[in-house]
Amino acid sequence: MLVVLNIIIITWQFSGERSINVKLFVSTPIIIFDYVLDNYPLVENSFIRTGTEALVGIIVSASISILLTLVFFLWPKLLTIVYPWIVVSQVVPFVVLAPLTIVIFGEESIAGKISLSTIITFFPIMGNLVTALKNIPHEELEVMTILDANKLNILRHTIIPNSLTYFYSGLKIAAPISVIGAVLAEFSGADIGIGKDIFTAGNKLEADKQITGIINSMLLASIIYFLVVLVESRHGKWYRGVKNND
Amino acid sequence: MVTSVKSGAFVSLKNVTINKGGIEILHDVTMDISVGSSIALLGPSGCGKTTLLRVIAGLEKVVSGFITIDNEKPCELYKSQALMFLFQEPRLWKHLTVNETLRLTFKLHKRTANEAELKKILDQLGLADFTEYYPDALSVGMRARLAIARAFCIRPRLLLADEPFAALDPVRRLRLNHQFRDLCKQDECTTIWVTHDIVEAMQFADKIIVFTDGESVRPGIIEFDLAGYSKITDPAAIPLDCLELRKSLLDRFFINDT
Repeated sequence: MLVVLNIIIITWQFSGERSINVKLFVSTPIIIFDYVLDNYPLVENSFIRTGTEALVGIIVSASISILLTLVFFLWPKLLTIVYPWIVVSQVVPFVVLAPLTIVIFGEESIAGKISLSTIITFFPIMGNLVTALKNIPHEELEVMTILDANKLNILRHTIIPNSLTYFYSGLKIAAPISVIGAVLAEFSGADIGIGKDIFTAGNKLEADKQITGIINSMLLASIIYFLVVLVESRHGKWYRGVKNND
Repeated sequence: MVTSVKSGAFVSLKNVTINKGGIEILHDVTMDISVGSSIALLGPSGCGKTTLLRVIAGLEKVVSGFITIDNEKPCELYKSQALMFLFQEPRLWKHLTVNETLRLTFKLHKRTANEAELKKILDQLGLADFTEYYPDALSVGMRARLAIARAFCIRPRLLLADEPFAALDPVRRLRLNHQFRDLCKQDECTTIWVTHDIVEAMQFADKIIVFTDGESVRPGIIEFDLAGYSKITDPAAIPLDCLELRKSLLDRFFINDT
């Protein structure tokens, strides 16, 4: 991984020094490094703001998904009524919603960006949890039936352990797109943030600022993904999940 | 086809007909099973043994007829937790250790885990040194033993077992069968169990119920009382009368002798 990264950086630097077009559109690693050093407080603030929006967004959407899954578990008929609407809601173009949140929450409000990050990350998590609910091994449910377990015990000892793999799969898909959600929301209007930096730098042809924003987005997505993997790894020896593949 | 195992019926099936996916699995079965008896269900694969067991447990619906266990519906027995099912696979809680599994069973049974009782069960089934192991870390035999331990935690009055030791080698199976029978006797538990092994059935059952193969005729069930036969103590040295019964079962009912 590090070798590949080094090759990319060296090739990029070399190409930028040789070609004015490369330098104009994607800058060079040294210029970008200088930009970060010169504008560190701005870069840091943007990173923290977008990171907060993405992280809170994914937490909110995970919470809503868990809550809805609980409702579907307690009243399974609701799943057939509500879930098709959730699927259909995904057809609404995301870019249409971004200006709407600005109108509702205001340009400088963090709530609008969080809500967009929540909306974009909701379906991968919800979809996986619904799949989990539909795939609970009936054999395990039969054991609980015979033991006359109540709903709480069924939830704790059958539904949750069998849903975790699906839940974390959803979170891992949602991790990078939560950043996309926050960045795209900032495109529509923000006082600070990676999205705002990328958007304004693009209009002014400030390649160093723009690429810094893109690199920061990638870094942020990786951090959130890593956080998900870290939480997943805390489930103890019994949990196999999909973490072995990460 | 009708059979009956009389005397103080604990489990009673009256004219039970079972359909699965539009196919009639069992037709008009009437059967009484007395308290404390050990009944082996024998028959070829797909003849309806497991389905009958699941119907008695209330896990499958009947088309017609009715089932009572101690004059109650099977689901009523869940509430008093007098019924337990040992499935072919142990169906353990993968997130709980041996100790936690038994404690949860006690908890579901609305009883606080009695340390002495817990230790006794673990000792009896050779799991005392593995209390902190998760099911994944246990061998197949240990998992089967844990399933038995879980079943006996609730002290069932009726235990339904669907080849719980099928995945084990013959030596382990025999050892586990002995432990299983000891626990059944200790708790005076009525047992209905499915097996493909005629010798195993003759060794441990009071009565054998044989499911006939139903290719041209409707599948039916016939009962064999083992009271008049010699007791098998060693499967390697089967008494002559039992050998004759075994041959008769094999010839007449196409049982897969494993």
